[in-house]
Amino acid sequence: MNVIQITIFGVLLGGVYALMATGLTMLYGVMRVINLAHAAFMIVGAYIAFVLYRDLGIDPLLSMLVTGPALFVVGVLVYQLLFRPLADNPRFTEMTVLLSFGLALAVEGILGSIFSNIYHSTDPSYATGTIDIGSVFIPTGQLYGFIASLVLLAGLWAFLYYTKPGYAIRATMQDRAAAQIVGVNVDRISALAFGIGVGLAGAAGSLLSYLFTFFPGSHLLWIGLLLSLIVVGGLGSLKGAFVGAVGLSVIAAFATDELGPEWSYLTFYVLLFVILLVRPQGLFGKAETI
Amino acid sequence: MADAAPAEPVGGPAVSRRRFPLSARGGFLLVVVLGLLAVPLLYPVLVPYAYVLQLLTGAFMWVAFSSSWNIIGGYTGYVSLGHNVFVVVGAYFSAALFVYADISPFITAAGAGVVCAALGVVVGLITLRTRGDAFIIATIALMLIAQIGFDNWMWLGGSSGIALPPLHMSEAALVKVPFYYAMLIVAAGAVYLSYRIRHSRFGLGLRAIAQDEVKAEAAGINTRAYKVVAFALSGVFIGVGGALWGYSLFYLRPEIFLALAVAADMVLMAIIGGRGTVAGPVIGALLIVGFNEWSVSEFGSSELNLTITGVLLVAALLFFPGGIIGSLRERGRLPRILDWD
Amino acid sequence: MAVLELEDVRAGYGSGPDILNGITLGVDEGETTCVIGPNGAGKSTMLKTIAGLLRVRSGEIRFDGKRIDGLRADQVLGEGVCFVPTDRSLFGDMTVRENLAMAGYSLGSREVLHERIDEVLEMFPILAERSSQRARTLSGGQQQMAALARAWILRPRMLLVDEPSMGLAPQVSDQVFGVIRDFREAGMTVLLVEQNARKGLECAQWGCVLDLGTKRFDGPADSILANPEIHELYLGRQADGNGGARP
Repeated sequence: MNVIQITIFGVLLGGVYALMATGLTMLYGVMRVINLAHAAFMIVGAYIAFVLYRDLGIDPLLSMLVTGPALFVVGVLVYQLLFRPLADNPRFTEMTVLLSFGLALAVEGILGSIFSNIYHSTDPSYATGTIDIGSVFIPTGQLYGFIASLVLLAGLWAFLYYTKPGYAIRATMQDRAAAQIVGVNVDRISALAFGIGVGLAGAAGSLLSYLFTFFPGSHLLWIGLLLSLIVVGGLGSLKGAFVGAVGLSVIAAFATDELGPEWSYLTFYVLLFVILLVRPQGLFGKAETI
Repeated sequence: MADAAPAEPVGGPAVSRRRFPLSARGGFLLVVVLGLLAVPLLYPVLVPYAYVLQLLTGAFMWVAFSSSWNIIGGYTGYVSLGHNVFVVVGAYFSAALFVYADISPFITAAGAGVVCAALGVVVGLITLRTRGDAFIIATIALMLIAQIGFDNWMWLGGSSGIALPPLHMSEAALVKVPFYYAMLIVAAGAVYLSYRIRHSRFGLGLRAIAQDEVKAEAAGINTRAYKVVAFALSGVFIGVGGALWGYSLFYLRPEIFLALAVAADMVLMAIIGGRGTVAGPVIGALLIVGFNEWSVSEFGSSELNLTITGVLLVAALLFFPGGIIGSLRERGRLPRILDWD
Repeated sequence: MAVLELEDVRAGYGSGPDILNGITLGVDEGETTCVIGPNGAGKSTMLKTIAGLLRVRSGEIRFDGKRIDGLRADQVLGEGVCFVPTDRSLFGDMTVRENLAMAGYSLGSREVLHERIDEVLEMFPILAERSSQRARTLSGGQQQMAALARAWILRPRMLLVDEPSMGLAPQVSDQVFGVIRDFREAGMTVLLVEQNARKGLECAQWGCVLDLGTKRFDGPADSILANPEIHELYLGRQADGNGGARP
């Protein structure tokens, strides 16, 4: 397969990964939460898309209008009920990891009892279509997913840079205490950020539903991938999430072509360890003293 | 924890004017251990023999697993969510030596522990350079790497697995006996290690790191070295236990050991029992093993089990972060026989 | 008339011990009060508690007669109390101008905000020069100016400043104290914590010595400066510009 073709694959998928990872890194940035349930929420979105497709014939891309808001609400609830009570805990990040881990298990269990452990996916027509340009082809499924992701990410960017609450979220991500001192209600802003972060995961789930097969246990694989990605990009850095997503995806595409299918995931983990060796704070993260 | 009565060291006195040489705590433990040693001897009488031995063997293994996890996840406050990597490495290490060099896992199990410790050092050096957040993620990645690695390692059977020569005894049920004793030793070793760490300067340093790593570093503790050693130690008995577990199954597949539930249970047991205490993981392991037995016989399916595990974990963290031991201690109601800290 | 009152306030971090062990003090309107004391005395903790960044465990804090303990930090700001922490708490990745604009987060109108930003850039020409630079790239002194400028935009009734001269060279910290005097001249009440006790007390009217989480002495700033006993205990033996800041 020629270089351009592989790069196209890498970039298109990378955009979708960026959508998935952005919410995750945002939650870390706003509140130092490592949300291990993030991928589980994504799978929930995928199942919602699946059911909408199977029972109502709703196109997965369109279902983003449902999965996004639905998971937004879930995100806010999870913040209010689970993470907010832990806010004063001195071992906050540790507690949130364990908490979200438990949440992920519970979600997997519930999904498993509703849907059983077989593989699912939606199959709209564009999932297998291609656009041929000269010697390369562009898979329409990935292309639409890429475009949808970019639209959402652009919307997020506009929100963060042109609206007051968006500014407040960015301020809180940079320095929570400083944001409080200038009058940001960091509690409300955190709830909003959570909603947005998980909502993005939900919307990404719609894309996942036709781009990949999934089953209740898939979230483990995905969370590993996404976490590795945001560490490489820099925990809490939105720019890092995007660059990391596209960059790693392209590298993984080449690795898969050269070395085999397992490298589509293995690349991410290996590069995680590499970045921990070489630059532990990630590409765009801030160096820590410890 | 210091005893109230000064002349009463745990487990046996150096100098004592008491009539009984052991404290209540030491005596209790001795009775328990002797009792456990005696169980397999009840062969003709105990029914169902194989089932009970198997259940207890499993309990011992989980006691070892959760006590070991507690070293890094409880004492040091560094949550490892991919800790079952040590299980699979230990299991396959001994399995490989058995299949290809004909050495019984009962002999190589200790080596499995050493290998896991070495792995812990290597991984620890890479991942413990920054604060906890990256470490946690790295342990997940490690588990996923192991999944892919072992699934594709054809020399060890890949995802189809590897079969081990079975063990033969005069009666079929007696096959369980050597595993019973071996795992009991592993559990005792793991708990003893946990106890010794807790009561050492090393353990004090780990706890300082858990409380406030910056201050610990400022106080002169080489936090990186401490963390790496803790991580390595936390793998030892898991490797040994894993080797024995693999052998006891006589057929190994990576997914058995790398199942999310294995990693989750280790964590849950330590937290429910009481993270950062010596007795906590033991209590937690016994409770959860018992609970799992009951729940599987009641509900059968494993999805519900997973949900319950998750819900229990969430509930414990929100309402009883100290676990059973911690909560009892807070209320001043911890019985002395359970106070091993 | 006391505009800020603390009554037997206890506070601490997380589940740790009390750092503030029952502090009672009052700050009069329009005055500048400087709080000094040894390391670990609880000076910064006290400011953080007043600002709403730390929860009060017992006792009351009243601002203008109204209780503010228990309010969130942004609510405390809404009452007119602005906090400038030791580390300046600027948004490192935002430009100076954006940082000043963030001060306007709680201001209602954008026109007022822009007016005040222009005003402040006039007052601090150094900031005007660097208004499009990222805050992270400013020197310590410039960051301190930016933090104070940000507070100026908010026109609080009361300013809490935590160790403004921390990490700054003497001439630069003189400039900073000059700005703090400007705040006082504009009618603001200032509560200042300073490690450099001499400099801090020199720019204040009232002084207060904190030790082990309680108030030890308070009185007119110049009398504290002149008091040999306090000098010995808290200001260091030499009555020169290095008083107080000993390793």
